[in-house]
Amino acid sequence: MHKLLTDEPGKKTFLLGNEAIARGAVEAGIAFASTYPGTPSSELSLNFFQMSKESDLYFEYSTNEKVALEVSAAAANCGVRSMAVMKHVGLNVASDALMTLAYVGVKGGMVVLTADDPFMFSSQNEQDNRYYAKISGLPMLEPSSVAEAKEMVGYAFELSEQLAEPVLFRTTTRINHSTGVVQFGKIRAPKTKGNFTKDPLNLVTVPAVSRKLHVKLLEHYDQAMALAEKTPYNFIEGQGVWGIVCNGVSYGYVTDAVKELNLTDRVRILRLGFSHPIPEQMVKKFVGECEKVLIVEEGEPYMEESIKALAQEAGLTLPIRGKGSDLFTRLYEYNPSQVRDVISRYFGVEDRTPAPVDVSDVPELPQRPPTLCAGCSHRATFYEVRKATEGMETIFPTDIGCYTLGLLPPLSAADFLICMGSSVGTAAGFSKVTDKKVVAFIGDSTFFHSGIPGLVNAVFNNHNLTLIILDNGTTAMTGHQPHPGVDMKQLDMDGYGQVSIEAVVRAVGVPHVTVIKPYKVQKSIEAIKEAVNFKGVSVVISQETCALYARALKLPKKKPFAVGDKCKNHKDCINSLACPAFYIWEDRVKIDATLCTGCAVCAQICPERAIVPAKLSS
Amino acid sequence: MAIQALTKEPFNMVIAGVGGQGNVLLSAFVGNALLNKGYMISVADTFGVSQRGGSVASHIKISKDTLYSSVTLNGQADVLLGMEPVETLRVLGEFGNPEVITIVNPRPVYPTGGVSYPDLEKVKEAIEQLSAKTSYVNATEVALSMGNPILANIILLGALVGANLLPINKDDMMPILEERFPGKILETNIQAFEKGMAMIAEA
Repeated sequence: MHKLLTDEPGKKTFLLGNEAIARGAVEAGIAFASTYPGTPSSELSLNFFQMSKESDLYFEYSTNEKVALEVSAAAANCGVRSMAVMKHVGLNVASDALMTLAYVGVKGGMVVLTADDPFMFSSQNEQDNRYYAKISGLPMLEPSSVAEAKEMVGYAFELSEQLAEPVLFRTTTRINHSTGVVQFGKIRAPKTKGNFTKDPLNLVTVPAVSRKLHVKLLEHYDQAMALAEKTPYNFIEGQGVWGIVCNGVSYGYVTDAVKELNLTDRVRILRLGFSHPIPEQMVKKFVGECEKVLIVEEGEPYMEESIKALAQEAGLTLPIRGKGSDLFTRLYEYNPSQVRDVISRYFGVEDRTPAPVDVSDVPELPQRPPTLCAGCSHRATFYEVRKATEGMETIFPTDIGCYTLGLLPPLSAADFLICMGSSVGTAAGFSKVTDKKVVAFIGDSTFFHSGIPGLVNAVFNNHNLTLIILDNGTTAMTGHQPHPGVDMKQLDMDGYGQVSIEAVVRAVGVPHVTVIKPYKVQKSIEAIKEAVNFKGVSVVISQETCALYARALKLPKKKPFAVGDKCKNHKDCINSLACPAFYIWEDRVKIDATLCTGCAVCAQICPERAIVPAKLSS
Repeated sequence: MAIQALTKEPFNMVIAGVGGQGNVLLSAFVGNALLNKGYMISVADTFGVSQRGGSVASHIKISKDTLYSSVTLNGQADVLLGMEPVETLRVLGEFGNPEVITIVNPRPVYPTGGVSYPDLEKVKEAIEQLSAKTSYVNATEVALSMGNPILANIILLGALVGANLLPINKDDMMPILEERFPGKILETNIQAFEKGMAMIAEA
């Protein structure tokens, strides 16, 4: 049985934040969940996926976040408790649906999880999704720890039903990817089937209906604020005339710092876990009892702006600060040392942080940016595209996925990226205003997510571009989730359709379509040359299973390669491929047999044919 | 015999390595064993396929009764388990202090893209200088001799438990290994764990 389905109330266990949230949803009787995978939320939906195989939970990987939100919104409108899970930028994609869903509301509890990524561990920006609560008018909850996240999910479902609105549940990477001790509660039996009652004058958002619904949303907003004033998730602790307001993970850093700086009897803390609508009376009362207030929040001065406005309303003139060059930054995630440092300086108390260790004698340490795996088929395709376009002036718009890592030399196969699906859309613009050859890259999952409209656009407007679809048979970057092109029988799962990328590309009318096997270097280069020389829209589908996924599927392994005696030390292999299985030892190229997957791409480009299957003893 | 109680409150351990070496797995093993003994633990890991080949660290805060925030304060690591020498040194610069005890696998993981690796002897020297005590555990070499490099992290786990720095011993680890490694692979993993314990005793 899946560990999160265990019906042992009281049991203490050690869970990842994402697992704790999934468990919280199970305890709340979740019956329906949907997602498009996105780190740091990926393991949450992975657990739903696993549990759906052995319980009544319906779960789907939807083609993108907007679809995921719509699917769950419909379930919730039939009274079924549902959850749509996405990373912060995924909510941009889903926001069109979200804004008007707020007008329509829900019948059964619906939680929309947005996993923000301060510091951009694995994201293209670090936007602060608390503003989505403000712009939509929906309530927002923000847990401060793994254990609290589990409890708060249950509360989120109740709150959603109480207000008849979806609830935004905002985490940050440090919640999703921290692990902590969690106590299991009772599991509420899920209600899996719902009932839809026709009510078009409240559910079909034509202008006359929406004018009424906006009034209703504002009433719900007022009710939500009244609940935020009373909820146990907004609390004040400690005493003293120095005030700190904080949310999310910052609360943990603040309490640790207050303890270590011996300030427990001088500082009072207001922790906002139900952060939108902000509990105005509570904030005014808290600020009114302080002489000086510090706001500790990662990201934008979201609470700070509201609190300053509320203080003005209340006629309070005490110093209230948060962001500023001398205090907290809007950049990146915070850490305990930084929070302690700012608290001690703002309140003028001594910080007894030990001096940092002296690292003047330490050799310079090499940076280690994440890189394409050994044997990654994307590396082969990038190499082949570079070869096929040698001597041409090129622009390589790219997209979101492992292959974005192709930006680094020597592959240098990424010139522009803004968001999911942007490769093909931006390729069209580049090709119109420059005379350069535009070759765009997109992954298989990203193609389904948001690449298709851009390709249709390119065909309709007759743009001159080549799109390389890097089809590695899975959503690799986020941990091998399926997408509509995946044969689900490979995963022993029945009842799924399968959408062929090639059929889609041909069906939208792309005039030049080829499929290559990127481990066959020469043939692939020839095919890519033909595609880039075609005038108009051409598509090359590069098909090879992700090397890590192949291992997970237990596909037959290939033997590793080694550098043999014929090597004349040109170093073409390492210099043009930079596969992590290579290393330099005493100025000679070596291959780490523990990393080599036997793709044989380097063996094909070695001018001396010196890279050969390794002898077993190595 | 393991120590019976934490020597500091909270007690901070950092595991440093390269994405793909198994830092998340190791922190979960240690965390679960400590949980079974009634400790409060919070762990912050660097995660994800996107970090493959990049620098990664896991922070484990252990307390008798308090749940702390999960990230270590600069300069406050008590134990550092290094799965790779350069990454060990990187973490020592940020979280080290004159009392830190370091256990390190001296086998380098070379960076890609022609980035050069510093002289290994100098790296080791710097690690020793910045640590109160440094123990080398040739985990990768021994794992390779056992036929599977992936065993290196279980060897390091054995070394960590054998070093008697945490209030857990081999008996506390066994149920966790049994749960994680069903069937035939259990025996190999127990052997790897025991090798790690033996190696730290000699280190």
